[in-house]
Amino acid sequence: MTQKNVQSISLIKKNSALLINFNRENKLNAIDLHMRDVIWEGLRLVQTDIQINALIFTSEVPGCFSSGADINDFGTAPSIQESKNARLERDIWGVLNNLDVPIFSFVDGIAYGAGFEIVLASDYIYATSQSRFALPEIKLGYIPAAGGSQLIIRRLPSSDAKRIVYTGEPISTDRLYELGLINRIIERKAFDTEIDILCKQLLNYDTKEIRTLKSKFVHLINTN
Amino acid sequence: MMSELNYISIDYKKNYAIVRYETNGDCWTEELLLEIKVACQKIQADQKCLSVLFMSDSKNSGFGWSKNFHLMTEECQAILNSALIAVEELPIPSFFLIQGITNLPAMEIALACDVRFSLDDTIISLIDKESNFQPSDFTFRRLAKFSHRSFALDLLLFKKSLNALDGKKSGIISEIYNSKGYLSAIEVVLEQITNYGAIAIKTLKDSMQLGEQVDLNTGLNIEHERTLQLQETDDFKEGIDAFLQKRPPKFLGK
Repeated sequence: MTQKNVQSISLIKKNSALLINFNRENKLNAIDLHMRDVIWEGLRLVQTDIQINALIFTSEVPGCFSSGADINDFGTAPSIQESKNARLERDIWGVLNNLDVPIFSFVDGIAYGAGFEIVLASDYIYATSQSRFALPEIKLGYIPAAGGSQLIIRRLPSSDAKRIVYTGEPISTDRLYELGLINRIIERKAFDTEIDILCKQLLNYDTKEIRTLKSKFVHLINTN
Repeated sequence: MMSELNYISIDYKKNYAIVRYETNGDCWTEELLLEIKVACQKIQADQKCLSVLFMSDSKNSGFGWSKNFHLMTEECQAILNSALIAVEELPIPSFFLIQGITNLPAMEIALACDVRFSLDDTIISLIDKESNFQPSDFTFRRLAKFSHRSFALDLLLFKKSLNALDGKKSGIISEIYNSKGYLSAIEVVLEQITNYGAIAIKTLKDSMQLGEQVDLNTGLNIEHERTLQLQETDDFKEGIDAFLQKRPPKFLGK
């Protein structure tokens, strides 16, 4: 296992999977510009290192997956045109939603805003029973900006999806499990073991084939 | 403030509206559908209104069509479609309260709304026992989007009924309310939305409505464009300032 950057976010190679591990406890894993840089670095690594067979999001902080984007960074782009250019150069959410490896999220506690948007972009979601998920952007006069408004209407029945975005209120693990978004409800103490098992199991599959099939799958679901 | 049509009353509250409709002995008529469209136009014209609830003024949302309604004629189909489109195209979040026996066409109007709540005694189906009408293409498209496909097919193919619990399990219904005191609980949700910025609410609805008609990658671009537009508004700045200053925001719709 190799580790890079031991601060608020880490990229960890485990067998052939890449873990993105949040660890900004004092800010409830709010995703700031530095964390976005590291996520982007991780996504680029998955794109360029063809040996990587999965991407796994998790958090070191008990009771917190991520509280969302760091609001201190909001509106810091000097102009709309520069925001557009920045997105053209580094479209984190576009790349994440078109990635050709399976994406897993292990969630314990709050997954709000961009935290929930990462979950919605994931293919497999494991969560503790006490986790809570929300898109609270509307409460602050804006809208989900990391794919949330588009992903949620595709991943959940429209009535629940729209209720979540319009009210900004959290939804429980149980409800998301009932609606089929969450795959398994597990305890936090089982995360490490489950990730170990998962990474070992993934070694039984041909990475090239996984990438070919996932690529075809996302192309079909994202362009229809 | 109340606004009266013949079969519909619109109760304007603090920045939200409750639309109560009156069926003919629990059956839907052509006139009611026409007034649903008029009610949507009135609500749309009211710039202050930020959410709307549709509900029956009887204990049932509706058993079926009135015997005078001939759905097989093009004119009647056009009336139904225009009511469904009017509800769907409302620029604000729309809610439907499913009450008691809820068959066609009440379920079609319910499915045209963004969010569906129900009472605990609800029984829903997509049949019309009197006339054997089928759901419209609009409703087929709506049901095709449900994650639990088997529930949709149970309703469509096998003409089964769902109780409130199964309706919630299927994703058709988001929340079940007890028959006592439900309205005040629902009004809390409606009122909550009115505290948010009008521009953001309408932008959010627009972004999702457009997003439902396109592929994901196009939808992501729509969301990004809308986000950039919002960043230019006073409401966006107010929301961020309020959060950083740990106070409730005061949105002015600018």
